[in-house]
Amino acid sequence: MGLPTVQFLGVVGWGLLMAWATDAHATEPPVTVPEGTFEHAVLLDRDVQTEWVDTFRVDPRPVSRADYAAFVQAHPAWRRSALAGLFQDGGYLKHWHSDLEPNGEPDAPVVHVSWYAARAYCQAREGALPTLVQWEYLANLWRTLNEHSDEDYANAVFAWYGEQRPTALRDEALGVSGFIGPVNEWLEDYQLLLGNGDQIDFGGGSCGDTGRLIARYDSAHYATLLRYQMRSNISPETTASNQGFRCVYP
Amino acid sequence: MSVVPLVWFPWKESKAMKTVMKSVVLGAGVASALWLAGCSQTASVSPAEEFVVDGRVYGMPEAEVYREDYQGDAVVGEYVTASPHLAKLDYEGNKTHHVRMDTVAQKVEVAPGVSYNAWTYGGSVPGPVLHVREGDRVIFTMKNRSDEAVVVTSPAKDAAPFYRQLADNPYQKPGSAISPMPHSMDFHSGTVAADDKWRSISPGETIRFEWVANYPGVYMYHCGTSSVLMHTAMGQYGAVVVSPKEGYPTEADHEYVITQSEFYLQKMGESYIYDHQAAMANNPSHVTFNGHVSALMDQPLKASKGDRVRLHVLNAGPNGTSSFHVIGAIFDRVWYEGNLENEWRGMQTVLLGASNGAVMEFIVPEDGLYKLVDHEFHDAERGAAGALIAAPVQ
Repeated sequence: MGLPTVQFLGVVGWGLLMAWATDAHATEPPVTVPEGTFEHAVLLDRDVQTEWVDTFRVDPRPVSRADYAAFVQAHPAWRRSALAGLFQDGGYLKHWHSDLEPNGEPDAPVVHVSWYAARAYCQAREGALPTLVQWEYLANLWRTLNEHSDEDYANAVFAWYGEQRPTALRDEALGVSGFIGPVNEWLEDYQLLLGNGDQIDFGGGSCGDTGRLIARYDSAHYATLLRYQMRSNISPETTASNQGFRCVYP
Repeated sequence: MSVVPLVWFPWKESKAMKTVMKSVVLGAGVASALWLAGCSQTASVSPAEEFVVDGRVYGMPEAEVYREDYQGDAVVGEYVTASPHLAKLDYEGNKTHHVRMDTVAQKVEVAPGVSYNAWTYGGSVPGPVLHVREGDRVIFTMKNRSDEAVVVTSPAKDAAPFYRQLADNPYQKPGSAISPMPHSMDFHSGTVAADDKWRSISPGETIRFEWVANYPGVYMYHCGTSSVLMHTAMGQYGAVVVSPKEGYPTEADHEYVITQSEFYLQKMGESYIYDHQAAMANNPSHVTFNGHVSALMDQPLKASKGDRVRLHVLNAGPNGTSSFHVIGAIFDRVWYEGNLENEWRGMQTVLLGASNGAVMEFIVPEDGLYKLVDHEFHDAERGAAGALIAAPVQ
C-alpha cells in the first residue's frame, strides 16, 4: 500500500473501508419495493401494455461519492488511472482529486461514471443496475403514493432536463429519493428499442415520431417519453456531469 | 456485385441507385448500428462513391463520430454570421466550407426579463447563419458541449464573423450554462441518409459529416433528436442560405436574414422553463424574429429610399405558420424556398409553414419606418414584429 493510499485512509477514515468490508450495502439499507403491475407509459412493445413486477430491493438514494470511493479502493481496476478507454469516454471521475479522493461533498451522488462502471459497482455489491421496467415502476409508485399531480411531475421533469433543477417534490411514502435529479440514472437495459413483433420498429428511435407510442398525449406521458429518449441516446461510455446510478438487489 | 448488403430497402431503389449499389460497401454491422444510431435504428449501407443526377451530387461518405479534446470557438467558419447579417460570398464558383457549430447550453433572453436555459448551436437562438453557394460542399463538425460551460463572448482572434456581430449587439445577453443532453444536427439543405448524418451524439462526442448544397434556398437546420418538439422549442435551429449558382437576377442594396420562431416558456421560481402543454396546444408565450421580441426594434434594419432590400426569411416554427408582411411595401419578387424557379411577383404577404423559407425583395418607397410583421396578429402581438428604417445616408 503506497503512501497516497495511506493518506487517503487518514482523510476518509477507516470506517468507510470497514463498512464496505462488513456491510454490503454501506450505511443505508435498501428499501423493499412491493410487487405490482407496471403500466407502460411508452409502449416499447405495442402488444404489452402492462407487466407484472416482482418485489425487489433498491438503494434509497443514488450511489454517493464516498460509496464509490470505497468501491475503487477495493477494486483497483476501476480506479481512474487504471480504467481502460473502452469503458469510458475519457472523463471518468474527472473532477476527483486523485484516484481515491472524490471532489465535493462525500454524500453527493457520484457522477462522471460510465454505464460499465455503474454495472461493475452494482455487481460488486451483489446487486445490479435496475432494469428500465423496475426503475419506471418505482418512479410511478413514487408519484402515486406521494400523490404528485401529473402537472407537477411533468414540470419537474422538464425543469430538470432544462436546467438541472432537482425536484422539490416530497417523498414521504417510500423512503426513496432522487427520482428527478440530482442525477439521470443508468439502467441495465436503457436503450430504446421498440418492438413490432419480431421486428425492430423503424420509427422507433427516429426523429419526432415516437409520440405515437405513448399511451396518452399529455404532458406527464411526454415527460416520461423524454426520459426514455434521452437515456436511449447516451452511449454507454459517456461520463456526464449529471449521470449517476443506484443499484437493485433480489 | 461482389458485396451483398445484409440490409436492403427495396423501396429506396431507383435507377441511379442501381448503378451505385454496384460499388456499395457494407457500413457498420447491424448490431453496432443499432447500438450507435441515435436518430434512427435502421442499419445503413454506405455508398462508397458519389454520383451525379442533373448536376447534383449525392452519395456522401459515412459520418464520423469521435471524441476530441477541443476547447476552441464553438462556431468556426468565414461565412458564418449572427442574424440578421449575411456574409458576402467573395469567391467565384464553388468552394468547400469547413464549418463548426458546437451545441452548447446557454442562458438567453427572449423578452425583457424572460431568460431560460436554451439548448443552442453556438450560443444564440436562432443559431448562426451559414451562407454558401449552390454547388458548394460543407464539411461540418459539431461537438456536443452541453456538459461544458461554454463562453461565447470571448472568441479567439480570427473568429467567425458571428462572434463580432454577437459582441456588437448581445441582445440575448448570453451566459454559459450546463444541460447535458444528447443532440444531433439535421440540415434541411443537405440530401443524405438521415440515420447516418443526422444521428444523435452523447455529451462529449463530436460528429463530422459532409453535404453538398444541391439546391438554392433558405433552409432550416435543427436538432433531430427526440423529442424534436422539445429540442427545437428549446432553441436548436437556425438558417442556411444557399444562393443560386447563377446569382439573383436583381441587384440588392441590402440583404438581411430573419428567422421567425416560437417560444413556449412558463415561469418556475426565478426562471423560465419549457412548457410542453403550451407547445402541444400551439400556444406560444413568445413569437420572435431572430430570437428576441425586440431584436429588430432595438436594432432596426436599415436602408434608404429607392433601395432594393432582399430578405431571407425562415419560419423555424416549431409549430406555427408565418404570414410575413412588410407594412407599406409590396414584395416585388418572391422566390419561394429561395429557388429562382419559384418566382412570384407583387406579393403582399408570404405564407411560410414550419421550416419553409423564402427570399423576398421590395423597393423602399420613401423615407420612413417600415414594420415587418407576421400578419397572423396573434403572433405579432406576441413579439413577431420588427422594423426597417429608411433614412437618407448620413
